[in-house]
Amino acid sequence: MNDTDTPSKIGAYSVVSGDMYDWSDMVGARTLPRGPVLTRFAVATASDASHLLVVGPHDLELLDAAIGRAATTTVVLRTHPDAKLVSERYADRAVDVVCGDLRSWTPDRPADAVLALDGFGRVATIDAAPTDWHAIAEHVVGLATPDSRLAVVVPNPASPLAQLRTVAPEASNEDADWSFPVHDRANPSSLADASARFAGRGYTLWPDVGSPTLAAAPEACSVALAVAHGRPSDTPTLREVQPALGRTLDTLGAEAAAGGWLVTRGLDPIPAVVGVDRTGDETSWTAAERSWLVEAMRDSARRDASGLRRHVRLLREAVADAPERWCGLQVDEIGLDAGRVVPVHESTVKLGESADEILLGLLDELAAFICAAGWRHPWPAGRGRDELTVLLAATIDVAVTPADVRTVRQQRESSLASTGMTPVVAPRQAPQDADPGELRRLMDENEALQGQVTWFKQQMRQRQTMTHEVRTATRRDVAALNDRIKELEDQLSARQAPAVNRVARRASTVPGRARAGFGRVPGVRPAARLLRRALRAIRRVAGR
Amino acid sequence: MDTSNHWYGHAHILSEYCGLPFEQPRPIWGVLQHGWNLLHGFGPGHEPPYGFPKFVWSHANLRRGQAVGWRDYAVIGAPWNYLLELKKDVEPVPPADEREGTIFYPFHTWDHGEINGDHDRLIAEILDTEEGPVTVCLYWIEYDMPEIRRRYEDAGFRVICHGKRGTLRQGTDIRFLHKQYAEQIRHRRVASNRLTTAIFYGASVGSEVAVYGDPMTFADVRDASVRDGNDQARRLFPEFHGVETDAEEVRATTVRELGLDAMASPAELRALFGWEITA
Repeated sequence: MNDTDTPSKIGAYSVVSGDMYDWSDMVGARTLPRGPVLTRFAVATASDASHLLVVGPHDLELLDAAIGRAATTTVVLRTHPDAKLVSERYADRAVDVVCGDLRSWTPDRPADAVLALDGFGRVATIDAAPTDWHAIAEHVVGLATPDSRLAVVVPNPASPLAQLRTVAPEASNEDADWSFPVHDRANPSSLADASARFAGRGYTLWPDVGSPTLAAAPEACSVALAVAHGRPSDTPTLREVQPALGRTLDTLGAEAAAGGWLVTRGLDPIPAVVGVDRTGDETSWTAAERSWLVEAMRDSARRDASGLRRHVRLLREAVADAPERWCGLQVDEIGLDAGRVVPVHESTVKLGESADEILLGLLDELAAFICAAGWRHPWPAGRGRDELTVLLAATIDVAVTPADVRTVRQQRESSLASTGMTPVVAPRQAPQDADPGELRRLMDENEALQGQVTWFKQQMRQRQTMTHEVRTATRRDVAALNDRIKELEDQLSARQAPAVNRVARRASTVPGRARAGFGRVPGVRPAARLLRRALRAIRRVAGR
Repeated sequence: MDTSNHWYGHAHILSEYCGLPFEQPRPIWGVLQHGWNLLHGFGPGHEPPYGFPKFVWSHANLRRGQAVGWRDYAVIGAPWNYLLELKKDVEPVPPADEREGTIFYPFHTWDHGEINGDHDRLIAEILDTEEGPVTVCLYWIEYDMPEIRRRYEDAGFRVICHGKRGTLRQGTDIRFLHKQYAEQIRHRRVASNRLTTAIFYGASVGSEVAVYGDPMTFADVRDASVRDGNDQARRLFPEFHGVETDAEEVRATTVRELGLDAMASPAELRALFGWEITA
C-alpha cells in the first residue's frame, strides 16, 4: 500500500458509549500480546485488506507492522488514554480510532480483516455489567464480512502455565500487573470450540498468549515442541513446569495444554509450525514425538537406572556424532523420535566447544531439573546439582569432578547471557539480585502504614485529651462535694437544729449522685463514707 | 474514621440502621462512598489508604476500582437506601396523586472548584418545561450567594437548601438526607441539568426524573482527575436524559447504581464497619 495515496487525518478519535477514563489497557497494564510469532500472523491478516478492524489494545510494534498493510484501519479501544496514544501515533495514516465499548460501535462498512490478538477480555467497558466471550464473538462476526480474514487469540485458562500463574503469591498493592481474577465461563473450552465459532483453523500457542514463541497446528505440535516452548523465560518461578506439562500433554494432548489458541481464517498459506528460538530468531522445527528431558526425568522418578543410563547413552551418541547440531541447545530442546535423540530445531548459538563439554552441560541441566523440578528425593542420590551431574556422567562411564561441572556451567551460563538466553532453572535469588523496585514498593507501603499509625495516634491523643478533661471536671466536682461536707460538719458542730434539718434533707441526695456519676473516680468512695457518717450524725441530732 | 464518612449524615443513618445511636456513630473502619460518580466510588484525588476497606454503592464502582488495581472493596449500596429502609414505616412515600410539582437540582460548585454556566438560561428552560410548582434546591454555596439565590426566587420558584455536608466533622448537617427525602417524596418530578446523585435518589422514591438544560461546566478542569464527565454520563446513561424518561429503564439502572440490590443486613454492616457490640 502506498501511504501517500491515503487521506491524512488529524490526531483525533471518535467516541462511543462505554468509553473509559482514568486508566489504560496499553500503558502500565497487563502486558499486551507481542513478539515475532504474533506479528507474522498480524501481517498476514492485514496484508492487502481494504478495511482492517483491530479489536482492542495491541502492542504498538505489532500494530506498526500490520497497519501499513491495509488500505484503511479502524482501531477500537475502550480507554481514552489508549485512543489518544494510538490516534496520535497514526495521525498521518488512514487509521480511525474509536474509543468506547466495542458493542456500541457500528462501522460504516464491514471489515474484511479482523485482528484481535489480545482476545476479547479488554474490549467491553467495565462501567456496564461484565459480558462474556460469546457475546463479543458474536458481535465481532457481525462487524466483518462473512469471508473476512481473521486472527483471534483465545486464552486457555486450563493450561498448566495459566493455572500456576493464578496461584502466584499475593501481589503487592502497588503491583500494576494485579488484576481481579475474572473467570469467563463462556471462554471456549477448546481450540475446536473457538475455531468453530469463526469457521476458522487453529494454532496452539506456546508458552502463553502474551508472548508466544511457537504457534503450531495441533497435529504438528508434538510433546517435544510443547516442552521446548513451555518454559517462559521471563517468569522464573514457572520454569519448573515441565513435569506437569509432560503429564498434561500425555493425558490431554497439546491442544488442551497450550497456553492459548490462535484462530485464523482466510490467511495466505502459513506453515503448520511458526516459531522462534530462544534468541528470538525464526528457525525450522522438528516435531519430535517425545521430550528427552521428560523421559529422562521419568526414569529418575521411577528409579529406573537402566532406563536413565539408556537415555544418557543415546544423548552421548547423538552429540558425539554431530556436536555442531547440539552446541546451541538446552536440555529441554531435545526430542526423542523413533528411538533416536534429535534436536527440536537448528541453532547457530554456541554454548560449548567439544562434544564432551556440550554433553556435560546438558547433563548438568538435566540435574538441575531433577533437583529443582519438584522431585522430593532426587535420584541418583547426590548432594546437589554438581554431584548429581557427576553421577549422571558416570552412568555412561565418563569421569568428571564437581569442579569440572561448575567450570562447564559457568562457561555455559556466560554464553547464554551473551545471547540473551536464560539458564534452564533460575538460581536462587541472591541478595545482589534484589529488585530495587521491590524495595521502593515496600518503602511506599511502609509509609502508608506509618500514615495510618499517625492517624491512630492522633485519634488516641484526642481521646486522651477528652478523658483528661472529664477526669479534671470530676475531680473538681469531688472537691466541691468535700467542701460541702466540711461545711455540713461545721454546721453540725455548731448544733443548730432547725438548720441541720434542712441540711440533712438536701445532703441526703448527695451520696446517690456521687454513686451514680463518680463511683469510680478516686476519692469519691471515702468522701461518700464520710458523708454517710455525717448524715447519721445529723439524723441523731435531728432526732433529739 | 475518614471524615467524609460523616458527610450528609451517612454514618449516622447507617448507625441507626444497625440499631446504634444516630447522633454519635462509631468510627467506621473504612471509607464510605459519599456520592454517585463515574469513578471508582471516590472523588478525584481521594485515595483511601492501603488496607482501608472501601464501601461502595455499586458493582460498577467496584469494577472500576479493581481495574486501577485497588483492593479491599465491599459493595453495600448507598446510605440513602438504608434511610429508605428506616423511613418505610414511619414516613412512607405517599401515593403519586398526593405528590405535585418538581424539585430541580441545578449543577453546583463545590468546596474546591467553581462552575461556569448561565443560571438565567437554565431558569428559562425550567419555566418552559415544568408544569406546576417548582422547588429549586441549591447547594449550600449557591444558597449563600444572594445574587444566585435571588434569581431563582425572582422566577417564582421556592428555593431551599438541604444543608451542608461539612468539613472535618464541622458544620455537617447530619439530617441532610432526611431533608432531601422529605422534599423528594412530596414532589412528583425530580430534575437536574446533570445526571447527579439527587436524580437517582428521586428515581428510588418513584419520582419521574429528567435531566435537561444547560449542563454548565467546571471552571477549572485542571487535569484528568477533575474532568467534566457530562458527555460520558450521557453516553452511558441515555435513559436519564431528556424531559421525559422511561420509568422502567430508569428504575432498573437506579437499582444497579444505588446498589438497592446490594444492601447489607444490620449484622453484616456492624461486622464490616468494626461495630460489633462488645459490651
